[in-house]
Amino acid sequence: MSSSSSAKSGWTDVRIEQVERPMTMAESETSIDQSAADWLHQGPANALLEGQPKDVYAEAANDWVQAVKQRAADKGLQFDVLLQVITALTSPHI
Amino acid sequence: MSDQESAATEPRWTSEAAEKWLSRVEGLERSGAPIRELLLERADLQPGERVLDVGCGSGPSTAAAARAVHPGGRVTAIDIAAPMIAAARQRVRDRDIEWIVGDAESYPLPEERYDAIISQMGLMFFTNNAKAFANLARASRAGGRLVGVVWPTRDKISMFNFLFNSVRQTLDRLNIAYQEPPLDFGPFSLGDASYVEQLLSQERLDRRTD
Repeated sequence: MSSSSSAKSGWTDVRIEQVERPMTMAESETSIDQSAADWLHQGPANALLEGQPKDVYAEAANDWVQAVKQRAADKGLQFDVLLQVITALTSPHI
Repeated sequence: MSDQESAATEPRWTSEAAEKWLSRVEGLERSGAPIRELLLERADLQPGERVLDVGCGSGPSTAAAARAVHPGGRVTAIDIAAPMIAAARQRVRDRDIEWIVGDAESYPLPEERYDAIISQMGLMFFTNNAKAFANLARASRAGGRLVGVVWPTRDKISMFNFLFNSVRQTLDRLNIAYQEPPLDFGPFSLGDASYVEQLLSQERLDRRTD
């Protein structure tokens, strides 16, 4: 027999909280070698670079490493980073 | 963001991507420590609890959860990338942890099993969010809790603004046109709080065949 029913998604008391925490950039993100270009390729900034030739990635990686070095000298590599916490409870099972 | 959009922009956790991640794992785990601490603080795990860690990666949150539920508790960790699970097994070395290579969106998890489902930056990579959170709800015992830390939208994260600005400056200097990705693309897909609230609170139509 086939039947249909309306049900909740399974979660209740959903809360979204934004919390700021100090985070220090990983040292491995700041090295001047091919891995910096790899990192750009794998990370979120690839959304700006996707489809570009390797030399553009290499330029971006070099600029990125210089920017990091400058930031490290000026303020250090710690950032106050906003994080989002999702909490919910399971509603009673049907 | 629709699930289709999420699917179109999600990073692929291929073996190659996982291997690259693992080549930097020490630094990344250190960098992610504040996220992990926040997750464990909010999850408030207790000795004896059964916990599922979604998108466990190389296992640091799993190891922390296992310590929190000791004695008598049990942690299951799931990740879609086999190299991550292999690395986690080796790094954590806890025989009481159950490791699963699988997609938490569709993996047949045991029903009503877990007291707490936790995730450190793993919830935002699902292809179909509604299906994934329903699957997790089925695996949670009645009254069980879900605690996940995700990124907000990318414009709110100082570290990524710094990165994006650097890349924009390079592209501008090279006179290369580019298109700004949506604020909630890929890893930021659960960044819109109102979307997440709607996603987890929505009514859905269940169809069953008895």
